[in-house]
Amino acid sequence: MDFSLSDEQRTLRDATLDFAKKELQDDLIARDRDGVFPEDLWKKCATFGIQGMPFPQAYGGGDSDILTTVLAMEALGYGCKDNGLLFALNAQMWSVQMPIHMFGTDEQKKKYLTPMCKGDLIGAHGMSEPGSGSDAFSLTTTARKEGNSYILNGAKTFVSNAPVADMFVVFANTNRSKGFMGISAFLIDRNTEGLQVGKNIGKMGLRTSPWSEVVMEDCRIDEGQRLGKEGNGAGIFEDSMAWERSFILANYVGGMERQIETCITYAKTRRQFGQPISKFQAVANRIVDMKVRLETARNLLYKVAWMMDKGSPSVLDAAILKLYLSENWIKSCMDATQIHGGYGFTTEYEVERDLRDAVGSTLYSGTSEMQRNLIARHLRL
Amino acid sequence: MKADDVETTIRRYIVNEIMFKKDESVLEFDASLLEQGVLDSAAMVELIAFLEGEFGISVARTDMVPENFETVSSIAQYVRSQ
Repeated sequence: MDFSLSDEQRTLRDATLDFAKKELQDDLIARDRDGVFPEDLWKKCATFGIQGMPFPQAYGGGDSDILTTVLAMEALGYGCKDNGLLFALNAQMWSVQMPIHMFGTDEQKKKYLTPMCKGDLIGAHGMSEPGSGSDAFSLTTTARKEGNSYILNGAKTFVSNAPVADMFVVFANTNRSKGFMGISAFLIDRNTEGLQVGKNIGKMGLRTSPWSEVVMEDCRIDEGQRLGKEGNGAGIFEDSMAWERSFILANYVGGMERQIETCITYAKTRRQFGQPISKFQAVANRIVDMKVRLETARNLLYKVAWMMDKGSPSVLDAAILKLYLSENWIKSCMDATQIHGGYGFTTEYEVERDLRDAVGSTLYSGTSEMQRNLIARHLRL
Repeated sequence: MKADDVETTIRRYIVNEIMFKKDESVLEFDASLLEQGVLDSAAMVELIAFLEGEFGISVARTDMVPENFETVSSIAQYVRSQ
């Protein structure tokens, strides 16, 4: 077992950190308040190489392995406080670009993957519906074959990036009698007749990442817009969920490290009862717990990335990682708020925003309950 | 393992571990697992783990289509083709 990083990995991680600290800083308090998606920062990330990092150079990517990509995402989470931007980037990379990379034709990759790597196109993933969330395959959207076309009807909700997206990966029933294996995946351009994108839905956190409903009414697309084989939708969704579950929270490992440093600085500076509050065990122990969570979460993250690179992905390890990292990110945000006392409750100190942003992490990409179900099944319970 | 044993082994697993029954004759080799609702997405995760462990194969996500998983016979045929 070798825990050391290569020179190339260290260089890319450090460069990403430097980029994030210099280029991804703006008036986030105001943007968060107003729910504004940072198109300029998105473009800067693409120019640096974030969106394309794990994808082939032939499609505008950086050809990095997964562990290296994860290290860069961790650095991004340390240097950039805009969790909404980071969430939007991850949502596109793992659940839009990755399925196109894994299941798309060369033509589809040239049309969608290349411009997404370059930041010229934004993609969104539509699976959840008003009546189907955790029970994802009970979706009711249909795709009826008519000659060389499919006609789609239905509604998707909670579609991350939808208000700013140029294209959508959408899942629909092509043969209801086959159950979850009657589902197929499609690539739909925003300007397709019959496709309507709703307004941004306000939410507790991640406010700089817009999301909305997407409605399809007799939305006709060419057969060539189907992603993968007919009936392979469940396989494509499971695959993209494996990537998303594994890495959508990678930024938060960097975020946890930043948070600990902020808390240490504050606890050493803030004085009560004649001494720094860091000298009180009640405060120090919180920071110790934050550190233990950070290091254990980081090891889980690196292990899952390493397994992906070895070509042996593990549903069990990915579920454990998603469950552990999300729940401990929330705990650390709570601790950071408590350590900062009343100041932690103010918008100005930027501690409360992390907490609001964190709450969604146990909900999206599979709730904590669903991760526990997956783990239980692997234990044959 | 004999060719017929593949069918029998897969059917035994599905009946015992997914349908939670003991009498294997309740499931015909050519009965549709999808249309009868025997195989849902959660059971599929378990079935794939079983097939990979039992037969030493790797089930690609591109192979998760009805042609390969419709019946016990089609699953067995898929396993043999790997």
